[in-house]
Amino acid sequence: MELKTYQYTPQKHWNQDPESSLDSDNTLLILFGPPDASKIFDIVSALQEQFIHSLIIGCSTSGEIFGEAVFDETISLAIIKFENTFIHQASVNIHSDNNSQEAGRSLARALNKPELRAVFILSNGLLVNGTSLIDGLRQELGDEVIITGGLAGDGTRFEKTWVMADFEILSKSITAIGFYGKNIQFLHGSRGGWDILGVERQVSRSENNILYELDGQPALDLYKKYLGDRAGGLPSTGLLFPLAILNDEEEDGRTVRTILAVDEAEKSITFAGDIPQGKTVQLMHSNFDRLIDGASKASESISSNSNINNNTLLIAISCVGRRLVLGQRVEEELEATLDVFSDKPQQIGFYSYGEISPLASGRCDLHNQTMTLTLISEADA
Amino acid sequence: MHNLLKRQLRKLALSVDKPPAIDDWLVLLERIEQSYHDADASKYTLERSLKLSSDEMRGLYEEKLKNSERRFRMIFEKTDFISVQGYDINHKVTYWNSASEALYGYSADEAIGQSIEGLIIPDTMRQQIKTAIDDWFNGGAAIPSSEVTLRKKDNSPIDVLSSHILLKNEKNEAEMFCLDIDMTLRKQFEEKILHQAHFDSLTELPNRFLALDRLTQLINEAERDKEIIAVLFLDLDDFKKVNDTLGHEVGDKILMETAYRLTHDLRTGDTVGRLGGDEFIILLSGLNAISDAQPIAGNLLQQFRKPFFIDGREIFLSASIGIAIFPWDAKTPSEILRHADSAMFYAKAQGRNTYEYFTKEMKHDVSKRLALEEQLYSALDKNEFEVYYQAKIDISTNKIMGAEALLRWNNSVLGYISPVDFIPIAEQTGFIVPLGEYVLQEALKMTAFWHQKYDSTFHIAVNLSPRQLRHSGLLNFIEKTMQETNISSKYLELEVTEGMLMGGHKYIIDTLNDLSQKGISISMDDFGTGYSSLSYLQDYPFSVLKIDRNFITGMMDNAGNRELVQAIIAMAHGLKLEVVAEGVETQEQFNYLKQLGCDYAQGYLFSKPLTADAMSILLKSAI
Repeated sequence: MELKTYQYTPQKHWNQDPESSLDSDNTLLILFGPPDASKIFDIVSALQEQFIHSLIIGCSTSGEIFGEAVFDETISLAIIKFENTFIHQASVNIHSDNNSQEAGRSLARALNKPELRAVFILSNGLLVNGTSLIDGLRQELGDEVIITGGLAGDGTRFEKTWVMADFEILSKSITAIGFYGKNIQFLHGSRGGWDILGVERQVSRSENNILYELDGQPALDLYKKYLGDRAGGLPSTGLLFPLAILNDEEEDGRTVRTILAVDEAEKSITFAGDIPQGKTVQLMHSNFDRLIDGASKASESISSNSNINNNTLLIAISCVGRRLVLGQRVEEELEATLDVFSDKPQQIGFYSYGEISPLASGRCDLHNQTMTLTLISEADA
Repeated sequence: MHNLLKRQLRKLALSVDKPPAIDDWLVLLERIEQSYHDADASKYTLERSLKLSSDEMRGLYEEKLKNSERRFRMIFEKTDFISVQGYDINHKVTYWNSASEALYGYSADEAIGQSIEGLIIPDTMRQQIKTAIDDWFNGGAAIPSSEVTLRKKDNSPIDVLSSHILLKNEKNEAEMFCLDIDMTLRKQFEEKILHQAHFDSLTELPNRFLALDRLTQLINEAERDKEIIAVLFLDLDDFKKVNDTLGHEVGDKILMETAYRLTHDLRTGDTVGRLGGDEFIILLSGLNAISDAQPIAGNLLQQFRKPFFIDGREIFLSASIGIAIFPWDAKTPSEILRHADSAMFYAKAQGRNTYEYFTKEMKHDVSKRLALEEQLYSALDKNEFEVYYQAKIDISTNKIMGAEALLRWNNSVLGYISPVDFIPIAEQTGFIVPLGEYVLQEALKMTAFWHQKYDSTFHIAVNLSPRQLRHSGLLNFIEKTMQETNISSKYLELEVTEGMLMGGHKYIIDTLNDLSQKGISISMDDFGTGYSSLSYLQDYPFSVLKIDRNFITGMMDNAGNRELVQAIIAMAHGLKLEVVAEGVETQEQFNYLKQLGCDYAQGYLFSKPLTADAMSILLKSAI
């Protein structure tokens, strides 16, 4: 396989011109860009002309990752030309949160062809219940097919996200690429680095991914109390306190959920995944070192593979909440993901509203507040 | 250099060695300022969240603590049999649960603030308790748990098991708690058990254990004061008969009445105890002479002159008393008791209803009774028994019509022993059953022989004892033996005494009816000595009545006896019973009986009891 990564900045444009020679039926473009899609229409059009045979998948971000650095208002692009791996793309429109599961099933059915090994999925970050989406995918594909990906971000505005398929900017869609054949190598790792904070609480009222009450008190009031002066920054400052749901299936015994939106009238909080009523939850918090350590561990979990080199693509999908905590030190976690490799892969990625990858048990799930890594390479035929 | 600063410089492409241009400098400052803000914000968030969560944790902890405290307080509050009182270093009550209210009678409102000693500690213990509490408050020894008698509000005493605990309250002040458990029930229970161990539950008299304990005590005192003690062993005469015939309930009532009579006739200081069964012991101390016991014993016997009225029945009973004296007869309690027992037996042998002092000779009598019992068991196997026959005469024809079978025992060791001596023992031990079967078998065998040889209508009468009548195999045995000897039931007569019928037990009337239905005659023996109840004669299947020898013997000298005999014969005939006169010794008696229409006679006038061989000769000569 051939791999090239590129960065586009408003000031310097492409750091290198994307090579048209990479265009083929087996070529995949992966693109992460700014929330305001209008700023990149021209660039995308130019790429479309250059890569008429290729597939493209992409989404808006809360920060584009290129190498060891994070940027805003830029484009991170990877172009992979596979030799012996086939790829297909499927996309669905979504209308409301309720049919996320059906959307997942429909995508899976479109991709479920012989020799399907892995699926990389990018979804609208605000209109989708990630838990349901993945349930739908798993119902069709089982746990044999590796699924990774993420939910699109829009800075810290939580207003409007997009995904890209067929060089189109889609505001209410989910798109996914299926990888086929025995030569594709698809590795994944995911870690958080958050610690539980304070007492256990009971989810006394919730509906899917909307949380109303904890221990009989409005959930939003609790967050406001903890945020104090920073409550004005909600919903983004809510990312400082993810919610841990006690869950025996996870390696560390808990599923982490991150805030997507708040409703002042209902005093409710919308999370990126379900908060089942009756479950026990705890607030979480973290600090720089613990988060960076988490990113490093995610990378370590896949670094033992000997086939990793400069021709390997490392897609880092990290939670916007981590960026919020880390502030200007956010790049230390991007250095940490690469540090563990002696022969370093090429890294692009984005800050997201949710990460998708299998659990330790092998069952794919939606994560929040993690650094989730996907390593793509192709073995020699 | 800090990683972040290094990165900030790198992002602006600035060198550490060279000052930046003014534009870059301003951007750098802006970024550095931002990182300070970030750090502050992060610190603020961290500190705030840590404080809030620790507050929440503490709230949770305090809530749990409060719950726990409330729960434990509830336990003390609700427990209904552990009284809990708390008091401070000045002994003022600070806590008083509802069980304390119930136990001591003070409400919590009344108790709180009062001194604990003033409330529930009796005057006599007050100083001691006050000192013990003060000592512990001041670091001295803990107050051990103990059983004490405290005081209720109404001044009545209350037994409690009291435990104390010294605690610190929330102000770190010492506080004492006292846990009292009401021991009244247990005390009552203990007393009851103690009473049961020492007193007879039926009569409430001291039992054997306590009576002997008092005897030991009296002996010790008497030894010291050189005094005399008399031990009276009292046994009711024929009580067993009453018990067997009238039932245990009546027997028990007689024993209770006996206990009452004995205790109410004694001097204060004398002890009456029940040794078991119908045996009582009376301990007389402070006597000056051996003879001092005599009027007391006489007086006790006098108590039995009055009949016992039990369940509408009038029952006459007498008692026999044996007297043994300390220190003359023996020195130890058990020996004295044994001697008094022997003397009592001797009194019985003297005809009952009397008292006897122990004598050295009596020792011999007791051992004789023991020896007799021992010999009895092997006597059947050793063929020591022999059945004798006393002829019965038909008064109208003057001829022998049959005989009564009588048992004789000639022991190889003890010699000739009277049935009066061994029958009661055989009856008591159950040996009467095989012995009775032996007599019946022998008598029927001989009767068969005599039927064949001399007289085919010869009647044989055999005595039945109560124990035999109770034995379930009796009927079968009689039938079997009659078959084996080929004797028709009409030649067999079974004699029972009146006493056996008194209990009205169903098995007795059933058995007698069964026997009667087989055609066997049932005769009432010794009529006139017991209760002489007409109703027995009516209710039971009697066909023969035997007038006791005492009436016959005195008949010719005593007009009253004569009239009685005449009345009995008339009455018996009225009831369609045949009459046998026992103990006929003179021709005069015989003539008179004949004149009265008596059916049969038995006595020395005709023949003394004879061996089977002698009887054969008699029968042969009569042909």
